[in-house]
Amino acid sequence: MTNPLIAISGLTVSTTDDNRALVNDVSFSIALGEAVGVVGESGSGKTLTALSLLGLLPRGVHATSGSITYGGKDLLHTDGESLRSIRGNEIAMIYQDPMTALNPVMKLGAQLIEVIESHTGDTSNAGNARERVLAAFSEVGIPDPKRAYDSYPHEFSGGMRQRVMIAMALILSPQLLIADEPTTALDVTIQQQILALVMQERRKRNMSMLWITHDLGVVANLVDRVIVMYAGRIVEVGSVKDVFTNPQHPYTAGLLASLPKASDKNRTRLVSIPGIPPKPWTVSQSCAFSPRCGRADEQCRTNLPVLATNSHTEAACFHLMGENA
Amino acid sequence: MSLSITDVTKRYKIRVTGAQVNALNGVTIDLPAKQTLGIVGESGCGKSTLARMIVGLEQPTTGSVTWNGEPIFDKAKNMISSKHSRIQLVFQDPYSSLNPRQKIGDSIAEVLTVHHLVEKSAVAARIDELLTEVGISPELAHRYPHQLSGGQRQRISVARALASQPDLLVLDEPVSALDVSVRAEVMNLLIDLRERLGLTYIFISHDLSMIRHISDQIAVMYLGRIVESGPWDAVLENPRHPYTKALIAAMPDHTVVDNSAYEAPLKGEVPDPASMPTGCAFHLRCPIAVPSCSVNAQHLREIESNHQIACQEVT
Repeated sequence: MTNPLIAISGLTVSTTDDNRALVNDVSFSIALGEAVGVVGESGSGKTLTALSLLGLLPRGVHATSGSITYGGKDLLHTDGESLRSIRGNEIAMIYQDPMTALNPVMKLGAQLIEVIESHTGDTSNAGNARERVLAAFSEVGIPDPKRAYDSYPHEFSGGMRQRVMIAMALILSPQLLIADEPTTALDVTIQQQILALVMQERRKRNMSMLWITHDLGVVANLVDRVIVMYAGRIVEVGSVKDVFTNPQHPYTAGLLASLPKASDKNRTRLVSIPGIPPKPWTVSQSCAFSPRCGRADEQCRTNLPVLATNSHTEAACFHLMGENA
Repeated sequence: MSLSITDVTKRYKIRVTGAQVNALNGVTIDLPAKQTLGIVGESGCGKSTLARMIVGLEQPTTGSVTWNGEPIFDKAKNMISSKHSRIQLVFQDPYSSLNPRQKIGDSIAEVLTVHHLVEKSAVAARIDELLTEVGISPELAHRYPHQLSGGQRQRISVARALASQPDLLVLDEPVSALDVSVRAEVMNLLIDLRERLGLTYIFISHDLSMIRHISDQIAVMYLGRIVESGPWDAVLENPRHPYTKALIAAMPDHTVVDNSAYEAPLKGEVPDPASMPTGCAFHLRCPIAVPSCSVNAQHLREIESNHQIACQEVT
């Protein structure tokens, strides 16, 4: 990749109190116009990684090492004021639950106006701002933008609230959209509408995207490249096609094998992965997946595998799946 | 033995506005023992109301729900009939359905003693037996729910449900709250228990892939009605109702890597059950609706052996 929009290098996020690493040595980059998916289970560090990009890590955890390079700046060492001008203007985020991300006692139109005014500093042209908000509402498929403008979040369904969130995230035309499970709480037909909308806007704006989810089905049809995280580390990266058809890390292969397949007429017994993921900070000198892995041997229990390029993907494993995955 | 749900409706009144919400609108299901019925639908379709009705937590407004011919809700006594312990419910979220301050052994003991299921002296042995049944080491009986993983907690919920030796388990989204890698083991456990104990299941989910994996029969619900039902393969491999087709198309599929997959979504949203559309409830979103769909209510009719749909436009 010659010209990444954003490059994350050696990112480690730890708890402030007892210095437990929750995200460990994570490196990846996103090209201009590229969509990258991050998949992982709860506790894998996918959300903390995304929040680091925006300088929005929750109280009690902080980035202890690494860098996030964007527009010639290291976002980990940028003061609050400059970060604020990047956030929203250049990197925007949509969350899983729009009800907690929207202000419940403020009309939707006013919430978007606030975004425009606080990020552009221009409070002089209220009429123009209103037009921009109405246009943004109509662009994301909200049926009656004028009514939406004067409505409160609770008057809208979950799907419509998520459309408002997307309108809010896109109104300043960001370069990068970060989405943290934005469709998990929605019904499947509504999820499909939201995904179609995001795809359409991404193409139109040539916008980069970082999509975080536990749902392998969603990313299979949405992104260009997939990152698989396990216990705070990246275990596999590759093009969506390679990762889904030729997974090389046994964890990725195991996850894919554990899902029922619509083509399986005999409904064969599902292949489960025994055990549960370890806490990320308890593993430093071994492969975190080794206690659950059928291929693990002494080497896996005493050495930490690093990401390396193989014939299909990049994977951190001593015993790749090979061609029979 | 069989479960019979006959023309059941459930109406709630919204206190503030006085509006009527029709949670269920004439639902009929006949399920023979040892079969698994998968019920799929989106939020507000009535699937959880139906689940609560089958275990006797809700009373039908009209119609009847019987197990082996006996009503589950005893109207004369205004309580759940004595048969209720033969029917048990497993909830979606084991975090909220288990008491966080109670050791898991004690939470199973509670079921055994409240219903006088075994002699006091036999409680401990029965707890061991139930834990072993669901694949949990009896040594874990003294642990608290927070000391277990999500998958283990859901196994405990299943063990509690099995304590009364039920014939029928109603499973309301039993794997939806679990991490992807542990869903498979819980699904396998449910299938094993079904074979070993001869259980009948009502498996409720919004996830068609899980419904497909476990069901003998499938019922697709939309706004309080069944719009399509039949054997699992007929419904999923030869869907006839436009809503079933849309639902199948909307399921994210990890086996297909294709960037055009989200291009033709179903338009509009599920209407508010408090102001139901006239005629067929699906007509506002339906790709094949004609003007008369907004007038004619649709009823299930057989289009091939055991395969029923509620749509006038499909022949």
